Parts: sequence; structure tokens; C-alpha cells
Amino acid sequence: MEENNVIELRHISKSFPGIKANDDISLTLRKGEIHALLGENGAGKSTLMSILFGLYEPDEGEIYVNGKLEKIKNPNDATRLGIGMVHQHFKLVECYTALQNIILGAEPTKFGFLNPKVVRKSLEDLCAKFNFKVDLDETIDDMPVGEQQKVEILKMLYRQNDILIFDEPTAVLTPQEIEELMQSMKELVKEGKSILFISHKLNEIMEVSDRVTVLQRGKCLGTLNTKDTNPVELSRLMVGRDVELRVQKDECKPGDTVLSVENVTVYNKDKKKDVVHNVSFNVRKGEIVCIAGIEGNGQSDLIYALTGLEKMKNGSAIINFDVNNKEEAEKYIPKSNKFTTSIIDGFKYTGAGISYIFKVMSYGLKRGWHSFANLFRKNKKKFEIEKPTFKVSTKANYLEEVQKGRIHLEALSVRRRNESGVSHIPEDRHKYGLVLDFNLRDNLVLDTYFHRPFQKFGFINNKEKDKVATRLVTEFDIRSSQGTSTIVRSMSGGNQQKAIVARELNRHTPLLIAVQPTRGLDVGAIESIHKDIVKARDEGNAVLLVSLELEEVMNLADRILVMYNGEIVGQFNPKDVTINELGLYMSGAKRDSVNAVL
Amino acid sequence: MANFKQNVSNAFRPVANFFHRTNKKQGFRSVIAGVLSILIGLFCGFIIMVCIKPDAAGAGLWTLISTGFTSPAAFGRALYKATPMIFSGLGIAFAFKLGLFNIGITGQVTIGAFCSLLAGLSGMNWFVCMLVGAICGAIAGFIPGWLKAKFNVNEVLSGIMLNWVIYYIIGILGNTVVPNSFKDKASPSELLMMPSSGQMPSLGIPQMEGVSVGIIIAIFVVIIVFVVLNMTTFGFELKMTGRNKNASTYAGVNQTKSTILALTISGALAGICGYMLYADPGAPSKFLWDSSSNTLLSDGFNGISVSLIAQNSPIGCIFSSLLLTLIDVSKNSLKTVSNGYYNIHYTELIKAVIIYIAALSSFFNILLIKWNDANELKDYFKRYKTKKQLKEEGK
Repeated sequence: MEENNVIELRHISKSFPGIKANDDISLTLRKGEIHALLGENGAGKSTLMSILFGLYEPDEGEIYVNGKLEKIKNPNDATRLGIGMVHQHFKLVECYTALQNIILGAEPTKFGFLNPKVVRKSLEDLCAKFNFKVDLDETIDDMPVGEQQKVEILKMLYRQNDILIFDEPTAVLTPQEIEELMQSMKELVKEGKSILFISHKLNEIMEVSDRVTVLQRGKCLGTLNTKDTNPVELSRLMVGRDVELRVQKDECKPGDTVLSVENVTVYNKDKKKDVVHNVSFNVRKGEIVCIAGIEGNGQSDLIYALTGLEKMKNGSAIINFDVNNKEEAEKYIPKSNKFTTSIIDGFKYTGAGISYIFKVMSYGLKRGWHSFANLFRKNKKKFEIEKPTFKVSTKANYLEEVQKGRIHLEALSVRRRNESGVSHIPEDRHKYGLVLDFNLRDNLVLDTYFHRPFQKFGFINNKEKDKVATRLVTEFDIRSSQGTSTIVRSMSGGNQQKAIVARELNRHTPLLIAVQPTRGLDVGAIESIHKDIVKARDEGNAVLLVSLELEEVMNLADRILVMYNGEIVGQFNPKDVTINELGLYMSGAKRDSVNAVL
Repeated sequence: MANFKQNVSNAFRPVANFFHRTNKKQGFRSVIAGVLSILIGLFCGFIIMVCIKPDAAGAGLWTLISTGFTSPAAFGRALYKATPMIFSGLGIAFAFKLGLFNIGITGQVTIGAFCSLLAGLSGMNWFVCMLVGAICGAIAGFIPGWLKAKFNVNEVLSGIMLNWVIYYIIGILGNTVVPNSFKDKASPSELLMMPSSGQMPSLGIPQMEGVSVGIIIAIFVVIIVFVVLNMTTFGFELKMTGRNKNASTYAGVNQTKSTILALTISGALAGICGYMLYADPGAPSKFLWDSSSNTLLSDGFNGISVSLIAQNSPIGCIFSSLLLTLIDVSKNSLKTVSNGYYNIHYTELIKAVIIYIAALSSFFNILLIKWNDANELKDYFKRYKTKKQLKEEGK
């Protein structure tokens, strides 16, 4: 055995029911190197790292740390051996400060009392050494994601871990933050740390790593020196076939407007301020409009307001369709009879009436309190709250609007919006996209289960569900251990994402809203999803895409809108703009006044 | 020594294989877990009996298990006592599918019992009485449901408060509105028994007068609830909301509607439970509202343990409530078997311990899943062996 191997994994195998996640994998990590682990979604990278970190025990194989055979049964064993892991989703206490998070679990004490002062000095030294700009007294809630990640790294350094595992660290970062992380990694290695780096972004691996090990479907395809290889070879090894890194697509031929967004303002409850200001744009048939921007500039809130997960404060979003085209109009105009409509409207009027009474009462109280408070104010204030108005969105009004070929989304429930031709690939797949305890079959019809073949007179038809699910599983290559009956929680992140994309694309709606559809996916899967999105466009549907990854933006978009601080600050044709130029707009250094309604 | 370990592991292999096979079916696993927990509960009861009077413990355990089956009358009594419990258990289980804990069930049972008794005393047919109970329970369930859906008031909080509101409202109504002809002359804070027109018709099985249409209705409702939860879109929506509220919002499920409906239906089931408590053809009991005695019927709370043991499965509710009443009917026999040593306090204690352990059945369920994840018991023993070998190597 070589002296400078800090970790040696020998013939590791691990199977789960129905799947062999790791099959005879051997890997060595030398002292002071960055070793990249590359593989498709579900290739077994995370399993292997979990074994190394003590979350799973291997069925077969041995782990040598610093030349000694070790049994790692739990994360505490791993920490004792100097192995630390930065998880893809950070394990931080959100309401604690950075310092509190770092010392959590290894608190310095004096006579049994906490004594963080001792640590502060050494932590500040560490920050200075690695050029980390972290405020130790800031709470995690208030930090950008990149800074949170640095807290995780500091946590490992504080525990004096020499072997660092990074599990897809760049998936959640902005381009600038990725650049900083790469620098930090190089610094760390100079200090004698060894890094295992899991990723499927080829350019990052090329930039930063010394050696790269490729996994494919649980098997190890070998270790290469990064210098001797290139992205094309790596992607071929990883996926097992040639991959086109650029999407081939025809010239965009935009048609009529499908979605028009007019003066939308969105209020965010958590941040207690407006996060989207007066945004207007439109999306036309056969066009991919992409909203680019750094995370947290209001894109998510805008999409939530369009899809009904959050309320819209002002403005309107309208789905347009051609009333004269009978085939098309039939999809939108619901069959209804006057009797049920009037009953439903009766309920709506009652509900609106009751809430109006409450609103008026609270308005009166506020006004009274204001006049009372004014008695004691030196500078009398004006009362600025608007009088409440009686608003009710009835079904009859809705039907009238629909007859004109305009559907106002802002007044509708989520179900009605879905039925009005909007499909939505959500940003947060665990929160919104999936019910993790349901099986794959149920998740693939999550928003269409009430449609005809899946239900008859309210009774669910599992056979029909299974038919569709099986077709989607083969079409989109969703890998799971027990087919359509797999519980989604046990699937890998990439395959979960594929399931959502499959479900939404299968609905073939006139408007597709996709928020980071390829987050956490490998090149092969990204390629196929990009192709599917372009196909949806070519079928004449409108696509609204939100992405943080500039490469994806440049690849897919027919029109780019840049969002900064809740406003649209630039509109570009991807052919006329460079990534650097976009970066300037995204960071707020440049801005145009834009008319994004074409 | 190593040989011995191997022999032990071989002896356990069939057990391990059995668990592995059962683990594949989720429903079957729940049943196994339930049975396991009940057996362990009985064993703990046995230990308590040993502590009190070791000589009688064996006989006591046997009495506990067998009394319900010794005579048709005893079994009949257990069966009719189980009927209302099935409904209260169902009520809890139904709301639980949506992740709501309907602790207001006690109040819903009470108001259901009170209103259906009034209906019965004013001469209504038994079925109408049951409907009255169900509707009143439903209204009592609607209130926390509406508060939860519209104002996000915690249903446990509003449920408990509503229990006491109902308690005192019944007291006020009883003293003022309820006509004197409905009351017992000797004790004015007591309603008369349910007249025979309001009692559920007996099935007429000899020696089992208590067994009425109620048990048939109960089984029928259990089947309906099972079908609704597992085979309809409404049940699918409820389960989706229970597992991941955000995702169900995303999928377009109307949260307000499903929250209100789940608690209302739960309340209606509780109301039927209330009616059945006072409508047994065998031995109907009297309804008190005197504030010194406990008017809030504890049968609602029993529903919680019924549902827990059944792990919120509607069909399981039948068996778990039967189990509880079977233990209940053996109280007197236990006393005679032990010459009065196991008196009412001890039998209640034993019952409580059994329920307590049995309620851990969901824990056993998780344990069974874990065994499966660790590649069954087989592997467990295999690993033990390798550890042993490692030690020897170390030496």
C-alpha cells in the first residue's frame, strides 16, 4: 500500500431490495488531492459516500483510513477518523448564528459553561487563511446559500477533519459563488487536506480536480487523470453513449400570445415586503422565454403567484386563446349548467359578504385607533389605509370571461389554473413536486388523478394509472428498484426530478412553466429533458423557463429576461449577448428600461 | 461456542424468513405488528398479576383471554360494547388520514348522545335518532374544521375547548329547556332511558340480546370508509393532504374543503357512537349532566386507543375495539378467580397497561420495517458471527 493514500475503499458492494447500488467499487484518495466522483443520477455516488461517512454499512468490502482497516458504523466514527461531509442540503440550525452552528456538538466549555470566546479567535484565523467572508454572529436564516456552505466547511475545519467529502456542492450555488468555492477548495488542498468531490458538472471537474473516478450503474469504470481526459470523453463514459452538450433546435417561430403578465406585484410574507414590482411580459406560442437571475431576486415568488401557490397583490396574468378555433376553445370552456353555477355563486357571495363585514370592522378599528393615536402625536399623520371594497369572483363572471378567450388566472384556484392550460415543474421537488410517501405510480398522476381514465364516478382505476405510469417510466428512463410501485422517498434525487418532468410534460398544455427543471441532474438526463422542452415548444406550446444556470439559459432560450431585485432589467436575444454581459445585468451593475411585452 | 451461536441462528432462520415474507405486504405487516404488541401487552399484564398474587396469575391470564368466549352471553356483551367503540375509533382514524387529531371527539360523542336521546324520548324511530346523533356530531366536528381551514386554528386546541363548551351547554339546556317529562323524577339531572322505539332492533340471537343491528351497521360503515379512503379520488386527496400539504395544494386539492369535510365526517361518526352508547336493547344506561359527575363521555377517548392499536386502519378498528371490550368483560371473573385480590383497581391497571403496550403497535411496525431494511434477521446473525471472528483474529 502506498504511504500517501489517506482513504482506500476496496471492493465495496451494497445492495438495496431490487437494486445493486454499489458493485465491487475500489477507490483511493491520496493526500492533498481533489478526487472527483462522477456518475449519472442513481449511479451509486451518494451511496458510496454514505458508506464512507457511516450512514450505511457495506455488504462486502473494506475501508482503510490512513492504512488501517476501519469499521465505520456511524457518522461519529467518521468524524473520529477525520472524515467530514458537506451535504447537498445543509445540516444547519437555521435560527442559530454561524458560530453557534460551528461549535454545536463540540462545544468548548469552562467549568461546565459555554465558552465560545476561545474558539472565536481560531475561527477568525481560519477565515482569514482561506479568505472566507463569513460573519460569525449572523444567523443562518439571513445568509446567502454560498455563505451557509462556508459555515459547513468551517464546521469541518474546526473539527480538524482532514478528509472532506463535498456532495454536489455546486448544485445550489450561483456562478460567482461556484467560482469562490473552487478557489477555496484549491486553498484547502494546499493546506494538506484531501477532498472527495461529487459532481456531474463536467467543467467544474475539469477545472478543479486532479483525478476523476467514473461510476456507471453501480459499477466502477476506472480512475483517470484529469489532465489526460476531456469533457466529451467523460460524458461518454458516464452515460455510456455520445452526448450532445448543446441542444439542436430550429429557428423560433413565435405565434400568438398565450400568457400575458400585466403589472404584477407580489408581496412576500416572510420577508415582509414586495419582492416583485410591477412586472409585465408575455410568452408567445412556440417560444421559450427564460427568466435569468441570481437566486432570491423574485423569480420564485413571481412563479408562485402565476401558479397560485402564493397570492398576487396587484396586476393580472391572462391566458389567451382563440375562441374561433373550436377545437382549441373546447379545452377551455367548461361545460356547466345555470343551476349549479348559481348555487356555487350563492356560496361565494355569502363567503365574500362575511369576509367583507370583517374587513370593514377591522378598517373601522384601525381608523379609530389612528385618530386616537393622532391626539398624542406632534406631527399629525394622514390615514393611508384604503377602504375595503366588496370583491367577489363568481363562476358566472369566469364563464363570461372565458367566452371572450381570456382567462384571468389571478382569481382562480390552483385546480382551475391547472385546467386552464398551465403545467408547472416546481422549484422545490420535495416540498411541492412530490408526495414522498406515495409510490411512483400515484406521483406520476398527482395532478391528473381526477381525469376520466384514472377515475370513474369518483372511484380510482389503478390499472389505467399503471398503464400511463409504465409508459412514462420507459419514455423518460426513470430508474427505480420496484418499478411503478416504488416509494418515491427511496429513489435518487435525479430520478425524482425526472418523474416530475415526465408528469408535467405528459400533460401537453399550451403553457409550460418550468423552474430549474434540470436541477441536480446529470448530462444525459439534462440532454433528454432539454430535448423534451424544445419538443414542447415545437408543438406550438409556450414555455416559461426559470433557471439559475447561465449555460442552460443560453442553450434553451429564444428570449432572455433578466430579473434583478424584483424587476425586469434586461431583455435579450441569446444570439446577441454573452454570458459575461448577462452576469453584469444579473448582479445589478447594468440595467435597461425594457418593454418585455411583444 | 461458535457452534452454539450458529445453531441459534439456524433455529431463528424460519422466523426470519417468515418476517421477510410478511414484510412484503404492508397490510399484513400491520396485522403482525398489532398481534405482536397485544401479546407483549398481555405478557406485561401477566407480570403485574404475578407481582400482586403469583399463585393466581396463571389462572388470571387465562381468564383475561378466555372469559369473552366462555358463554354466548359474555361474547354478546363484548360485541355490543364494542359497537360504539368501532365508530369512535373510525372517527379518529378518518381525521388522522389527513394528519388531523380530532380530540374534540369526546364532545361530539356527548352531543350526539344527548340529542339522539332527546329525539328518542320524543318518540322518534331508532333510525331517525341515529341520524339526529350523526348530524349533531357533524356540526360539532364542523366548527373546529372550519376554524382550522379558514383561520389555521389548531384543531386540538379548538377541539378541547369545544368539548367543555358542549359540556356546559348540555348542562344549561338540561336544566332549562328539556321538559320534565324526559327527566327522572327522583334525580332531576338525569335523562330517562331510551324508550324501546328508539333502541336499535335486536338481532334476536338467543342469549345474546345485546347484539343488535348496530354491529351490522358498524361493519357496513367500516367497509364504506375503507372503500372511500382507498378507492376514491376523495380518499386519495385526503391521504395526499395528510402526507404532504404543500404538494396537494400544488396538485390543486381544495384544502379548505378537505379539511372541513374530514373533521365533519369524523364528527358524524362520533355522533353515531354517542347514539349507540344509549340505545342498546340489552341494558340501556342513563345519561347524566350533573356537573359533579363526569358528563363528558370517555368513550371518545377510548376511540383514540382503538385507532392507535388499529394503526388508523378502518378494518383494524373492528378487531381492536373487540379486544378492548373482551378484556373489559373479564373484570368480574378476574376478581373471583383470585379471591378478590385482583380488585377493580388492579383490573383497570392491567387493562391500562395492555392498552398502553398495544398502542405501541406502530412502533413494532417500524421495527419490522427496520428488520427488513437490515436484510432480515438472517443477516443480523451473520454479522454477529463476523464480529466474533474479528475478535478472534484480533487476539
